[in-house]
Amino acid sequence: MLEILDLKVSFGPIKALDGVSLRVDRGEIAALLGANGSGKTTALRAVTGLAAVQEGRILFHGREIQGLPPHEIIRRGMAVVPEGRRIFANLTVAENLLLGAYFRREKDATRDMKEIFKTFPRLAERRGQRAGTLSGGEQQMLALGRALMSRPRLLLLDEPSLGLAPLLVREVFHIIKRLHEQGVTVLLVEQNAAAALEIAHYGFVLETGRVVLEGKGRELLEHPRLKDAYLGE
Amino acid sequence: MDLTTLFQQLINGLSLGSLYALIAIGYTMVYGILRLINFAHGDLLMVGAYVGVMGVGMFAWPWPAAFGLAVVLTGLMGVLLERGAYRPLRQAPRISLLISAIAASFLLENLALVIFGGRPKPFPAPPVFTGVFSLGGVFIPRLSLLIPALTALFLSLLFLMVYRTRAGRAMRAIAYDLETVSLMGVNINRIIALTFLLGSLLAGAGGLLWAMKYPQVNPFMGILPGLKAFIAAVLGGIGNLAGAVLGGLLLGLLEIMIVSLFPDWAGYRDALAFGLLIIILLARPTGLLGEALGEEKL
Repeated sequence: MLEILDLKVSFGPIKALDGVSLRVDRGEIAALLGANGSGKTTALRAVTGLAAVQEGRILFHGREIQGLPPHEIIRRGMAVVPEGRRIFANLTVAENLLLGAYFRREKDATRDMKEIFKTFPRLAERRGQRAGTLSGGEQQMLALGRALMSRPRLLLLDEPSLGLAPLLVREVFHIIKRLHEQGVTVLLVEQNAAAALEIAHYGFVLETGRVVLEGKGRELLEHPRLKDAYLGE
Repeated sequence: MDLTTLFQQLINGLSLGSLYALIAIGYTMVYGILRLINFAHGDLLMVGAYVGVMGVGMFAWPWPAAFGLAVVLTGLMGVLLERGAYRPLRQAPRISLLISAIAASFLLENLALVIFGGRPKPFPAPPVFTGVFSLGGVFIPRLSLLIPALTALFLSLLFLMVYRTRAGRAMRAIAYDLETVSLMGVNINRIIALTFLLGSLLAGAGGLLWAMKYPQVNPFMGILPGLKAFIAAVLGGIGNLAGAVLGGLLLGLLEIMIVSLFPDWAGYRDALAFGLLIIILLARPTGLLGEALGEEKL
């Protein structure tokens, strides 16, 4: 579904991604792991058109998408839960959700919002409230709900567990798993390798802009190199 | 000051304040999404006024056609400004945008100077907008009532647009976090252009009303009202729509009241407004309704 081929992205003299290749197949949960500054977020930003691609190709449904503006990439069936949630604090919960379905018909959006409210009852209670007043966990749910409002075929999640209490982390991962069961393909970017590989079918480990390790979820977790990638050699 | 005069002055202040509000909206909307003080915004008034003069005066069109065209062309001029002077600098440091705005302002003024000449032209106000109401001994120019009424109408439409439509939703979200809005599948450029269009349409309407109130047109007529409206926007809390309206009305009333209470001070009228700006910036930079700027906004 998503294929990245020899992707290179630099910011000035700094090479953030130095030839990254990875693949996410339809119907799987893939994890992109790595320590802080390894290039995980940059890879996501390149996929969604927020970071300029110097070299390499990004294919979505077999079509090249690098160089397209973000909204055109998104409209092809991607949705993002960005790092730090990035909900619109000045808008109400309902408005946040409706923005997630910006390019869909208002009627479909309102119908889907009801579905989202079923999945996240807390959001239903607070639909008229400004999103900035929500707790961290509720904001994460809102960011998830907002992403789902576009009915994505590929869901990109950037550090969904960051800053959440362990109990909430488990809930978030549980929801991701449920979404996957409903047919959404997921690319999960995580620092928390153990939690991510718990649900991921396949994982890639980034280190200073390169994929240094990849493999099936559980097997990857036990690989001795994994620790090195996080702790440095 | 007797009651009649007070009433008259209140109407005058309301009318001037409405004009400030109408123009201030454009500053505040653009600032809200781009963090840019669009210094060329005041000059759009002049563009609207000149198109109006040409239509009504030179070509002798019926006023609704001429005024409609003036408003639409001013709106499009605002969009053109964004396209030519601001969009190419979207990624540049904000100071570059500001300099570009000042350049755009000079360009518009001097373009008008070359095309229309420096001599002020009288503005032939259509009869609908002239004449005087008499209300129990109080004489009020019809225009002084029409200006607040029209302003109220335009602003209601704008608020509906911003708070009740999908595009308005995107606009408010962009003010908070531009990048993430693009991840919602929103074409950011289109929403920004729409923002400029709305603000500039209002400036066009404001320009026509201003030109009828002070019935002449010259290439530099937009500067002072533009600056005053900017002060109004800051007073209300720049970036805040309701604040721009409140700030405009307050500044208008304040100016008129000071001048009528202390006629000797009339010459300091503009100094008063700028003094007020300095005081706000020192004492409460976020204005009356502005919220403290979060990380996202800095």
